[in-house]
Amino acid sequence: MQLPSTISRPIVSLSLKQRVVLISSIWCAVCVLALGWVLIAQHRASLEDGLRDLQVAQLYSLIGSVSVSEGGTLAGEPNLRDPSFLQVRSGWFWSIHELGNAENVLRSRSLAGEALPRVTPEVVPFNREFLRSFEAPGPFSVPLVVSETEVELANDFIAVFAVSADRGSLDNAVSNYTTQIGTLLIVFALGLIVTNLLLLIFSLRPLDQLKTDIAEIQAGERDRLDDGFPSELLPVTRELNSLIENNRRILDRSRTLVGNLAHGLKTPLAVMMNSTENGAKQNREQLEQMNAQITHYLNRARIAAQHNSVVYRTDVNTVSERLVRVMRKLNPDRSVEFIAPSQNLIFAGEQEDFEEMLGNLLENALKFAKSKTRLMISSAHKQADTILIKIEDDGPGIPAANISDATKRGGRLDESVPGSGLGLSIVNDTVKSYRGSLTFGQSALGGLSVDIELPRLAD
Amino acid sequence: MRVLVVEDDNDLNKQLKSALEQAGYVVDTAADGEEGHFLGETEPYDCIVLDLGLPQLDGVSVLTRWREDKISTPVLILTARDRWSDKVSAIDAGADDYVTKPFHLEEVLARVRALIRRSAGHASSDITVGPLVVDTKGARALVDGVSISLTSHEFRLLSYLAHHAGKVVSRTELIEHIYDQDFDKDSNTIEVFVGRLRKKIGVDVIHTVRGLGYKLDATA
Repeated sequence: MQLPSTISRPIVSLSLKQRVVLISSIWCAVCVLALGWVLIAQHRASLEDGLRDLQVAQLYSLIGSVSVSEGGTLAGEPNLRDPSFLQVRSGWFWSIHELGNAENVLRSRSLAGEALPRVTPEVVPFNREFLRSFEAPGPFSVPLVVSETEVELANDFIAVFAVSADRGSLDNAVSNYTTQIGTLLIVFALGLIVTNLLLLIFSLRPLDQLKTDIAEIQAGERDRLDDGFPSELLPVTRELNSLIENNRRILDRSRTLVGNLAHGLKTPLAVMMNSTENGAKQNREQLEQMNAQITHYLNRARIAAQHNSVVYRTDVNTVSERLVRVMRKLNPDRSVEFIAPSQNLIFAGEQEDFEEMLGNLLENALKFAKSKTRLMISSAHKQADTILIKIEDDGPGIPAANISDATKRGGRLDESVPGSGLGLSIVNDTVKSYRGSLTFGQSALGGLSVDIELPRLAD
Repeated sequence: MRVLVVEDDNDLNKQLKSALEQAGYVVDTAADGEEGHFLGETEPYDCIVLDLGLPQLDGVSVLTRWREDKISTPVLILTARDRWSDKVSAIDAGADDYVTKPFHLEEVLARVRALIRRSAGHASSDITVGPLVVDTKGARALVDGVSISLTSHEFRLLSYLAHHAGKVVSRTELIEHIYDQDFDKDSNTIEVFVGRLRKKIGVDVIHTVRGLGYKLDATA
C-alpha cells in the first residue's frame, strides 16, 4: 500500500483565536436555541394546563348553577363572572344542553344563538373524570379550545356541559412570551460570545507579546525574550532564549577563533615575508601564496558559521554612509559620490557581511580610480525583494576577456597596486552565500562598474 | 621625523624599527598597549604605527584614549583582523589609515610617509622651498635640481623644517622630533647641524628667528 506523500491539511488555516471563537459561538448558539425551545414548550404546556384547570372550574360552576324544571327543561342563569362570556364572538362561550335533545339548551350570550362544535366520543373519548378537551373551529370562524363533560342532572336526564376559550389568545400569549424570552436569550448569547472573546484576548495576549518580541529579535531590536511571561509559556521562552544565546555564542566563538587564528598566523607571516625581503624571491612568493590560502579558508570558515545564525537585518543606508565616510577619510584626494534612496532599505543578512562586500568593492574602486568613484543604492524595479548596489570608478576598467579572472581566488589583474587579490573573491563568495548576483560592466564614469544584487527584507 | 611603533611581536617590532630608521625616521618602540599609550601621550611623535592586537590594552582602546586626550598625531593601524568591521571600528576610533598583516615594509613606509605629509598639509612627496626640493620619498634634497649629500641626521632636520615650511620651529621642537627620547636636550648639536646644512644647501632658506627658533622659507 502506498502512503500519501504529504499529510493533508485543512484548506482554511484558522488562528487559535478564530478556532476558539468559532467553536464557542456555535456551542453558545446551540445551547441558546435548545434552552429557548424548552422554555417556550414548557410555557405553552403550562398555559394549556392553566386553561384546562380554568375550564374545569367553569364547568363545575355551570353544573352548580342549573337544574331541570318540572317540565323537563333546563333552568338557571349561570354567571361565570367573566365579561368575555357576554361579548359576542369573543371565543369565550358556554353551552348546556340535554343529551339527545339539542333543543333543550342554555347558551352564553356571547354565542348569540350559535352552537358550539361537537365531536363524537369515538374521536375524542372522555377521561376517567368524564371530561374531555379538544380543539375545533367554532362559530364566527374563531378557533376554540373546548372542554366538555356530561352530568346526570335528574333521573334519566343527562346534560352536556361545554365551555370554550379562544385558541388565538393562548397562541398570542405564547408568541409574546417567545418574543420576550428570545430577546433575552439573544442578549445573553451575545454577552457570552463577547465575554469569551475578551477572555481569549486577555489570556492570549502573552502569545501576541511573544510574537512581537520574536519579530523584534529578528529585527535586531532586542537580544532576548523577557521573563515576564505566564508560567505556562516560561519553559518555551526560556528554551528560545537559550537557543538564541547558544546560536550567538557559537557565532561569536567561531568569529573570535577565526580572528585569533588570523592574528596568530599573519603576524609571523609578516615577519617571514619581510625577513626574506632581500633574499629568495621564491620564498616570498610561497609566503604570499600561504597568505592567500589562509585568508581564503578563514573567510570560508566565517561564511559557513554565518549559515547557522538567526535571521539578521542590516540597515543598508546607515552602514553604507559609515563606509563612505571611512573611504573619504582614507582617500582624501579622491571623490566618493554616494547616491541612496530616501526610503531605508534592509538587507536580509549580517552587517559584517554587508560591510565586507561593500568595503572590498569600494576599496578596489578607489585603488583604481583616477579621481572619482560612485556608490549607488536602489531597490530593484522588477523584484521588490532585491537591493541593487552599483559601484563605479573612472579607472582603466577590466577588459571583457579578463572579467572571469577577477573573482578567482588570488587572481589579480593589476600587479601595480598593493593587495593580495582576495577582495573580489571574498565578495563573490559572500554574494553567493546570500544567493545574490555579482556582475561587471562598463561605467558611465569611464572605468569599471560592479553591480551586486542582494536579498531585501520588508521595512 | 619621529615615529612610535607599538607592536607586541618582538621580531616584527624590530623589523619595523629598522626599516623606519633606514628611511630616516627616529623610532621609539613599545611592546604593549599601556606602554604605547604612555609614550604616545607624553612624547611628540609625527606618526604612530599601532598594532590592534596588543596585550594589556588593545589598540582601539589606546587610540580612543589618545583621541579623547586631544592627541591628533596621525595613526597607522596594523591589523591581522582584515574584516571591514574591524577596520571601520579603528577608523571611527580615530585612525588615519590601516595596513593588514602580512604586509611588505615598503607599504608601511609609504603609508607613514603619506600620513606625515598629509598631516603637514602637503599634497606631494616633494616639498619645494624656492630652489630647494626635499624628496621625502627618496630621502634626498636637491638644490636647483642637483642632489646634495646629507647625513641621516641632517636630512631628518631638513625634512622636519620642510614639512613645516613657512612656520617657526623651536629648537626644542626640533630636538623632540629628530632625536629619540634618550637624547640630551641641553646639547648644542642642533646649532651645529643647522650651520652645516646652510653650508651644504648654499642658498639662504634656513632663517634664524631670534629667541624663537628656525624657519625654512624662500622669501624671508
